[in-house]
Formats: sequence, structure tokens, C-alpha cells
Amino acid sequence: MQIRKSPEVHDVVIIGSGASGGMAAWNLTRKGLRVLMLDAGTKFPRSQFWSHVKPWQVPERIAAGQKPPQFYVDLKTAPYQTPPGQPFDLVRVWGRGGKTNIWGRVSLRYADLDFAGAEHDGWEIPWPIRYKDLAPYYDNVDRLIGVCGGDDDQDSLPGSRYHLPPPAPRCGERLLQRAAGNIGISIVAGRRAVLTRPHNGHAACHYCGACGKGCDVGAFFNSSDYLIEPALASQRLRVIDNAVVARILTDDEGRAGGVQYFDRFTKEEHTVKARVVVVAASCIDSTRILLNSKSHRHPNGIGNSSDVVGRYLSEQVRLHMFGFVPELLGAPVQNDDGIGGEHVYMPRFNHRDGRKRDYLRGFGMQFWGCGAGDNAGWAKQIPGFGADFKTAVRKRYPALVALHPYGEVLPYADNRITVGAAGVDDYGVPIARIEFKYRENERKMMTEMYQTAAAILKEAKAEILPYDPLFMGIPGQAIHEHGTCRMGADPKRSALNGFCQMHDVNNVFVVDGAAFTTASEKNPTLTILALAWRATDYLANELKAKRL
Amino acid sequence: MNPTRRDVLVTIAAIAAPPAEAQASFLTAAELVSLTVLVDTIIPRTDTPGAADAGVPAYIDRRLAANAQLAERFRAGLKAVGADFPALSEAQRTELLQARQDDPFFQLVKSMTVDGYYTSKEGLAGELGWHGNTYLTEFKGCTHPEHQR
Repeated sequence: MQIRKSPEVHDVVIIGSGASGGMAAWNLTRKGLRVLMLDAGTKFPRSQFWSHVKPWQVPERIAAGQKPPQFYVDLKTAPYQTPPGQPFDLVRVWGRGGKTNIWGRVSLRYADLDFAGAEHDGWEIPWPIRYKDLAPYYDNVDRLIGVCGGDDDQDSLPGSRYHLPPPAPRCGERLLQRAAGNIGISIVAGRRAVLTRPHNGHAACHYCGACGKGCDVGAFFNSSDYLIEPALASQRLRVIDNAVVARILTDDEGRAGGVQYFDRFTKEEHTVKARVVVVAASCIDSTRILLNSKSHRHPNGIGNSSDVVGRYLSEQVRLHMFGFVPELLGAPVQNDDGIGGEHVYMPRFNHRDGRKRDYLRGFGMQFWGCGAGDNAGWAKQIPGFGADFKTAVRKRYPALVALHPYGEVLPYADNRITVGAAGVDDYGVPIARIEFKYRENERKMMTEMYQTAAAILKEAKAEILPYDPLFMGIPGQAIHEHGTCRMGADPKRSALNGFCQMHDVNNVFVVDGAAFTTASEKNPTLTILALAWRATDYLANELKAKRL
Repeated sequence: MNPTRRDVLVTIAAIAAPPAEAQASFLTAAELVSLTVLVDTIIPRTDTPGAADAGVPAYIDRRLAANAQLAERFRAGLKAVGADFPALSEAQRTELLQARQDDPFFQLVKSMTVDGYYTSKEGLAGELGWHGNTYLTEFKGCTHPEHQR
């Protein structure tokens, strides 16, 4: 097949349109650079979101042949392989804005406890940056996208001067907050990228609670509306739809010169040229591209002389506990939708004086699903049937509380992705094989995560729904993949410097979750945005200084 | 109050006569009768609608039509419950199900009944009182003085 080669040399080509790709496009065009973005899908029109389709209307609509936007890419288009008995659920959205269309929106700043963890416990390497390096960028991001939250900061949860007002907690959240406080555990106001008032031209939240279906008014940050549309308006961004990137192309010296991609539907091969390549295709897809970019200068994939690319895949380990608080049994049902997801958060506390633990790092806790929800799946665990069962479910419905601890998974060299042995996709490009296991440290942390959630529920005198304390969930389901192209001070032990720039190839930047040195217990997107902003400030300066 | 046999047949007639385009369906008419009685024994009509009133049999049938593996397992389970199940008295049905509460098929039917009923308008809005997914200008949260710290 003929290869379509574009003769134009762009300043920067960005692979991917999610949080990090959108940030790169917005910031670089703002600085006057001419940018090409390759997006593996197309725009998801907000007018087609099913945000206000009631649960019982869903089957009717499907029976009538209608479909909500198909956010999640199917495994036929984007296959990957896992070893038998070692599943990893990889969730990806190909299309404008990527996963930010339907993300959880929890926006927590990393603390020095996270950046410097390895300095204290010696496990693998610390980040090459500290909170003070990223703090101005966290401020920038908060101001740009709008993050609501409180000022009840902690050593493990740095604050912000720019939070929008936090929403009032729901009844169940209040009761958990009180119970946790009684046993010395702080539950603070949550921090979430949801607009509790109009912000930078974006509409305020109308508290419909359907964020997971996409927001029909754009009241929470999504990369498409908040970053890519303004970048397009600058006339300096061009986006190519349905461009599935295979490889970064290099010259004889091993420097990046462009990108090879395939049209998602026609499968036609194309190449484009650029002075700088920004990789932002989400952790595992980005890493796959790097590993597939082999040449005589880069026999293990581009920028991989350290052999760390693909290694140290760090997801998070989490669990879910449910209970019913006595004060709310049989209470009048309220509209508990709020801003979707919990209005409170339990920051990490296990590092504090006087607490002993037999594992490294820590966990926080989220509480989505407290109160009257749009289903009652938990009722499957209420024993019995008949009229008594119905009464038992109705009584408990307003009293539901939900606890979801999230714990850091340590970086391990053999939790990794590889290419080559797992076959190829429909475009003939080698697919990723994902090998990921929880280890002893995660099992021990899980024990304390269960104990902490159970202790809060017991103090709240809640009826606890049965749970399996050995259940660790299927890896990948937190949708927080990090670490497979980590940054670090030592080029022998890391692939990127603190500006997400490859040690080996200075005109390649990897700005998504792959760049993280550790996972921490926190949701990554706010930090991805701050890192991508900082990296592209540096990139633009280096280009102007003609060092790239 | 449990549905009489006539109620069941009326429900079946409604299910069996879908609008113009034939809907994807898996279960036979006889199986639907059994299923209807079964789901109504799990969530009966009381002062609010029951599972059959809320269209749960059709909901389950649609899910089965979309999942061949599940459908065959379901059919075998339904067969084991017995063709005479709908003809049993309420007391007999209750006794029969009480003895089978740990049975995987009962768990499956209960699970699908819970999913279908508590996402139906009758079950979610009517029975539970959900009134969310709307447009609000403010969210007041918990206003109970006794719940504040």
C-alpha cells in the first residue's frame, strides 16, 4: 500500500488528545507554536450524551436502535494480551478528550510524602521533582479547569488557594465523617474538578449526578472543551481524526523526526514530520508506541537504553465496602446526586506518629455511592425474598454508605508491558502484553484498608454488607495506570527527566501517566495536567533557545 | 397481594405483543409464565407494583437474548424449577424457594430481578422514591442539625 507522506514539518506533533495531550496542545499553541495532534478517534458530541436518560429509558432506547456515545474502544480494534490467570482490565477511550469525557474528576495534589517516598523507605527511586516544583502548576491547573474543594488540608494533601466552593456533604457522608473523627481519622472535603459555579466560560454543575455518562453542559473538565477547542481557535492547532499511531520515526542519529500512523478505518498508512514529538496516548498505549519504535540506534525501543520503558507498571489496589447507617434507615429519600461521586475524602494517615504498619506507602479513601442511587444492586446481598425483602430494601435505600480505599502499588521491575511476542493488531503493529501482579506489600496494605473501612463503619454503628477480606479486585479497574516510562534523576534508572523529556532523545516528551515515578494512593489526572503544563513550558523554551 | 394466575396471563399477553418490530427475545411463552411467577415471588406486588408489573420478565428476556451462554444456563435452571411452578399456591412457592436460597439459579434470578426492578420506573421511582438525575440550581446536602459535627 502506498504510504501518504506529508512534507510539512510541524513544530510539535502530539500523540493523543486526553488530559495530557490536550494540555500540551493548549499550552504550546498559546506560546505561538504550530501543533499537529493525532487523535485515535473523533469528537464525542455533547448533544448525544445520555446524561439525562433515566435508567428505565435505557432499555427502551436500545430496543429502538439508539446508542449512547461509544466511549470505550473495543478489544478488536485495540487488543492486548495478558498471561493466563493474570487478568488486567485496561480501559481506554479513543476520541477527542479521551477518558476525560467520563473521568472520576477527583483532583488531589501529590505531597512530598509521595514525591520523596523512596527516599524514606528505599524502595526504587524517588521523583526528580518535589512539591515546590509542581505547586505553581497545580495552582495554574486549578485556576484553569476549576476544582472545588475545602481548605482542610493535611500533610498528605496539600491545599489550594483556588478551590471553588465545596458542595455540602450528603447525610451518610456527614455520619461517616463524624464516626471517623471519633476514632482519630480525618475525613475532609473532597476535591473534584466539578464547577460549583460558572468558571472561565463553562457552565456550573446542575447536580444531576450523571457525570459517568458524560456531562451534557460541560460542567466538569474535559480536555476537548476546556483545552482543545481553545487551541483550535488559535488557528495554530490541526487535529487529524482516527489517526492510530504506530511508531515514532527517527533519523540516523536516533533523533525523532516524525510519526507513523494508520487510519483507524481505511487502515491506510501515513507519516508526518515534526521537530518535537509529544507522547500522550495514555500510559500503556504510549509505552507500546515507544517499545515499537525500534531502530538501530534504539534496538529496545526509543529512549530505552535504561531498559526501564515498559517496566514498573503501577496501578492502584482498591476495595469496596458497603453499609447502612442507623440514623437513615427508613428516612425520607433525598436527592443525593450532588456533583456525582463523593463530597468528602479520607487523606492518607498511616504515616503519622504512633501508627505502626508492616508495609510501605499508604492509602486514602473515597466514598462514592452514599445515599439514594439510581439502582439498588446492593440488594442482591440482602437475604430473603418476598414482601419482607421488599420492605428490607426500601428501609435501607436512603441509608447506604460506601467506602472505597485506594492504595499505592509499589513499582516492580517485572510488573511490565512488552511487545513482540503477543502478535499484531489489525494494522500489523505488535500489541502489548501486560504482566501485572499484586505482591506481599499490597496484600498487607489491603488488610489495613479493610480494617480501616470496617472500623469507621463499626463506629458509625452501621450494618455492614458481607465482604470477602481477601478479595483484591482485578488489576486495571482503578483506571490509574502509571510508571512504564518513569522520570528520574539517573538516566540509568529512568527514561525521562523531571520535564518529561527523554534522557536518550531530547526531542521526545512523554507527558501522560507513563511518566510517573510512583503511583501514590491518589487519582492521577490533576498531577498529569500539572506535569504536562510544566513539561511543555520547558519544551517551548528549549525550542526557542534552539536546543531541540 | 400476590398476582393471580389471570394477572400473570395479562402480563404475558403484554410481553408477548411487542410493538411493530419484533423484539429480540429468547424465552418461550411457557418459560415466560414460569419466570413471571418466579420474579413476582421474589418481588411481589404489595402497596406498590411487583416485579411483573415493572416488566422484569421482559427485562430478563432481553438480557438472555443478548448472552447465549447465560441464556442456556438460565433455561436449564428454569426447567429444574419445574413446569408446574406457576400452578403452585403462594405458600408452596415460598416454601420451595426458601429451600433453594443458596441455589446458584435462584441467586441468578434474584440478581437479575433486583437489577431489573430497581432500575424500572415502578421499582426505582415508585417503590424506592428516587427522584434524581434532574436539574437543580443548588445542592443543599445534609440539613439535619443532628447529623452535623
